Amino acid sequence: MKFDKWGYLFIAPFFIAYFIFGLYPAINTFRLAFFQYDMNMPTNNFVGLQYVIRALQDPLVYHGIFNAIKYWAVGTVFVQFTAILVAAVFTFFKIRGTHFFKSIFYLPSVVSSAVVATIFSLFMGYPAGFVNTLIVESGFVDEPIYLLGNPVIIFCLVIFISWWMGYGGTSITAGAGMTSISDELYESAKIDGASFPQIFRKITIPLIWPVLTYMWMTSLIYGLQAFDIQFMLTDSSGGPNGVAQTISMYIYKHGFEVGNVGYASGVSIVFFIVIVVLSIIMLTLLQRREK
Amino acid sequence: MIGISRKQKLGLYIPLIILGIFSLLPFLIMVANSGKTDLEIATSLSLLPTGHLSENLATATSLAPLYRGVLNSLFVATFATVLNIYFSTMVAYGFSVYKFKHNKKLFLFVLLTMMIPGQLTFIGFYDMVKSMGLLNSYIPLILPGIASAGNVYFLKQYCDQIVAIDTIESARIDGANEMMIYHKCILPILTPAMSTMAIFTFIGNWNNYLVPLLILNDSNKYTLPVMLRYIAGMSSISSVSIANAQGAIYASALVSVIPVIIIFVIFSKRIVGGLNAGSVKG
Repeated sequence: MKFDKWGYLFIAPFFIAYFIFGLYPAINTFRLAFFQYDMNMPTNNFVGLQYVIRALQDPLVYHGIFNAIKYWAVGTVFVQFTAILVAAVFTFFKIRGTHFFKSIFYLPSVVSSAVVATIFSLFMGYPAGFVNTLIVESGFVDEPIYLLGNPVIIFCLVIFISWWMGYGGTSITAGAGMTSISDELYESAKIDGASFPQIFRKITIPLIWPVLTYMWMTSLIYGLQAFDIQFMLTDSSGGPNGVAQTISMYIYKHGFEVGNVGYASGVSIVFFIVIVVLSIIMLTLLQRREK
Repeated sequence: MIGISRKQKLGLYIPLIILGIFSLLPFLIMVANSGKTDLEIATSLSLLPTGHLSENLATATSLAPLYRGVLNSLFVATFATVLNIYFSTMVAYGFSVYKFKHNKKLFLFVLLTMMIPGQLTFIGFYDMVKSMGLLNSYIPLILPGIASAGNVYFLKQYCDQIVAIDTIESARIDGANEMMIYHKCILPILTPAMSTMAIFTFIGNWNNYLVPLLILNDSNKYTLPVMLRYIAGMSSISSVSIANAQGAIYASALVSVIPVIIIFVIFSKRIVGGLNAGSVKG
């Protein structure tokens, strides 16, 4: 068709914007890894693969990657567990105010991570944050505690926040999956005398499982990038023993605090390799499941 | 639907209400504390503000230009959203309607761009922005949104369902060119999907933290998330020192969520519906 050439004009904006703001920065990151380059004093010395090799041998790189995976994995377990239960309640029972509840549960995820991190670090503040006031006034402890200095508390807090922000949206998506299961299936199970827990365990969960594993796996890529909450809760430091330091924070630290752009790019390359490997594993698993 | 007794039903409401309180409580504490003095915040757990909001806001604005931040965020989020949605729709329409060579392959490329997270490339992004002389400008916050693969994907599905080739062909017979057809005949019928995507895109831009943190270094240009962190940092909250100006920080947080909450309340049906369509990442 003679009109079909117009299509190129219509799709051009995406490609122009992506090449400039997506692809070029990616290539640029690779390029920078080969130079000794300081943000403040541009001295361009070619150093070859030195930074990439150093990053491959840096235990803190692996620490950051495992940390991001750990936060993602634990957070997702809680998010999905709550989301399935909530979605099931809305799907199977006539609950008054379903929309109201769904909106309230989803509310925390429309608020910026900056607000969330700020109010939660105020709650946990020392010596006069909300939690300290609560435990001191109620006589639970005598002296206020420096809560954000405790690695276990930081870990639990980050998990709590990702649960708090995450389960509302996931429950809506899981609920969409549940309503797509045909009513006839449920009806015939009920006629056969199955109880609600039986129906839930034997029909809903197996049928919703593909949706959940899909959501779980695709969220890994996002989980690996974790930055905002951990960064702000620990004032960019990563907390005691770097308990909350994710790989993105480590890249930020070298690029913008230490000022070693070349090394930050080297770490980015290692991170890139990890993401590619995990994506391939993930896609293979998803495809195998489809067969 | 499963029939249950009244008592059992009540048993279902209790956990839902508890979850609801969990969702809302941090916001309620924020609202209450933004209206209390620092001493009251430190010594009482009451959820009733005592009328000190304007003092707290005055403290906040003495630390940083908070209201300027509201305008900055409005400016950036609005422009980013308009450009993002306008161009994403155009690209989606192009893929949906025209059967040009390599259409499928190019669309696959669009989807693949979602696999490379921005976090991997922010060092290269910063360096590029710096050498373009665009540090402290809003351009690097606004223009990258034009390439928004997720929105293109969703809008293309919508176009596939809703755009009728007949409409386009009869307009062609009337002598309209393709751009005119798109703007006059197609855009109006796509507005429902566009506005749903616009809500999510606006909220996403409003809340964006990392890129403004990298790009902006003049407090007069800060968007709200960066401004809020700046105010919190100025009064050094998470350090071991005495927590000071807590009320001011709570008040700043309140100011920066109010616009999002308003949007959320107005559009909650559309937002939940959009998620229901399984099309949007939260």
